Amino acid sequence: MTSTSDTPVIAARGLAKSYGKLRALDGVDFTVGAGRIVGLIGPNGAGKTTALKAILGLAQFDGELSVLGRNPSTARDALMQDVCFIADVAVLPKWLRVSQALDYVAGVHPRFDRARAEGFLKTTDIRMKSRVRELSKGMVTQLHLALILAIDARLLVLDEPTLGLDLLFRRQFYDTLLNDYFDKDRTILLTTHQVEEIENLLTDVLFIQHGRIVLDSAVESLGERYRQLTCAPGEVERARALQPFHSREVFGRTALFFEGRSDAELAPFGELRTPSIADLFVAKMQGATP
Amino acid sequence: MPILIRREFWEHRALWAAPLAMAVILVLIAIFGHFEMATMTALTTEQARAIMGVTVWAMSLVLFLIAGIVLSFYLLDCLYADRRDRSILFWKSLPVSDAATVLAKFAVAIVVVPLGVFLLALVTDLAVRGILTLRTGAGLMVEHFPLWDGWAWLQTQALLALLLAASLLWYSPLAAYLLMVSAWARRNVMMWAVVPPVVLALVERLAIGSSHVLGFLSDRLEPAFPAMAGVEAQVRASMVTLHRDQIVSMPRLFEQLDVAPIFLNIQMLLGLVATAALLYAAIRLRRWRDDG
Repeated sequence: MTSTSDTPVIAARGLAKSYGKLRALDGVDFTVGAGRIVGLIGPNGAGKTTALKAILGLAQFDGELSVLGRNPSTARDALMQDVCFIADVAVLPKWLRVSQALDYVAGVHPRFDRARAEGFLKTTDIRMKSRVRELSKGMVTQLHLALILAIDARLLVLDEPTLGLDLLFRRQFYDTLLNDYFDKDRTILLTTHQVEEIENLLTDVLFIQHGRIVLDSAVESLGERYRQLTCAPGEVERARALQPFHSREVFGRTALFFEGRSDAELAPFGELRTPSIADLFVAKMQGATP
Repeated sequence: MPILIRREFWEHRALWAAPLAMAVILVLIAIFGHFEMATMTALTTEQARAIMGVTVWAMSLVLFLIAGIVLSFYLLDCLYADRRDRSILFWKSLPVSDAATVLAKFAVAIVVVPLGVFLLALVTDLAVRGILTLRTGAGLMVEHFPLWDGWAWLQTQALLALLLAASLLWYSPLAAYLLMVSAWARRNVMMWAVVPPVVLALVERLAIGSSHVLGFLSDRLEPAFPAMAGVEAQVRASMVTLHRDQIVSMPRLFEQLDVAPIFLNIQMLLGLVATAALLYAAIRLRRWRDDG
């Protein structure tokens, strides 16, 4: 993966983890550079959460892993000063009051800017005295986001951060993240099922399946490697001879997905475009279809 | 107070609410209760001091009993609750070591709450004495009832503090064991806390015919532990022998007490080693337990 800085924020080599006989992570290699927004995308059980747990030092792993130059299994406490993490909306404890959440994070995190968190909360309907159990799911996410935005961290890890939220809150979540948080010194690694919603957000994608990385690319260079050909009528068979890795029917027309074919080879058979990340994801996961 | 400690009192409100409620009840009893006292016109000094001691202890022990029950549930629940509602993922997203997390909870149970309850008992005791003094003036009780004796009161409190410290050290392996279960069990912490020791004791009984485990457990669970047995017996004696000549009041007991053997004995030290090992296990489990 391309990187804006020489030292990667995350570097994994041969990262592996087994649960009994199940290889949740099967020796994966990847690096994440500073200032990138990386989507770790894969079906359920592909190993996304396992990878995040290893990166956050929450689970033991085999292989080499360096996060901000540290080993997450031995230096987790120090690492968490520079790393923020939102698992999903349900992890803030129900009994916690908003004011207590601010007190606590201010008490344990040296880089927490309380005024900033309070400023963000003022733009919401969240009241300081409320307990988490009294807030809606969307408001809990806003609260968690307010805490995270006010921490001057270098890496933000998001694991399905908008799961179960309605569209308005999901959109607002990512807008806030981009406008108020992200800058060139910060890196975001996120997993989500709703690929379409974050397509325009990502700078890099990592597809993961059965514990292996099946695609690792900067978004801007996807178009050089992957082409989607919407075949002209009668050209389908000849186009298939160029060995697409996936095909699908859209409104009665056949779309073929190619890897490593030049536009010059494909152009005679129909319209060419860069596949969307969502389409590419489906194509990669389903692989060859008749 | 450090934030890691304060956080425990936000989540587990019974830690302060239950002893406080009991203290309020004691004060209300002092205000509205009816007391029928046998007339004691001719108390010896030692009898008066004994009554002093017994009344201080009675009020304190009620509060400590409540705190002990609340703390047992607290220790068993505190690490498990975070895992049950997955808020552990929030707590672990902050730069707090697992050792700090576990030790803060241990300190709440072994230092903060006992100290708080000791002070609460002190204040309650003085409040109750003040109220009873006023009511005695209004004809409630016999005038000779020894409510105030500053020196005896202080000596009794000192004995109480000393034995409290010894008890806390003695029971610390239990506290650490409950924390370890709380960090380990996937569900049903209560069962996991109780069943393994009982099964161990049964297996030993059936397989070898001995009962070392049972002996160990009853030593740790009984309020009278070996090092204190002498003190305990004397305390009990002083409670039932008010009218006898050979009375040993708690202030007297404090004067005669040999402090060192209470703390420096092999069982106490072995217990502390067990505490350290169990706490280490709890920290490791908190660090690496993967609940999926």
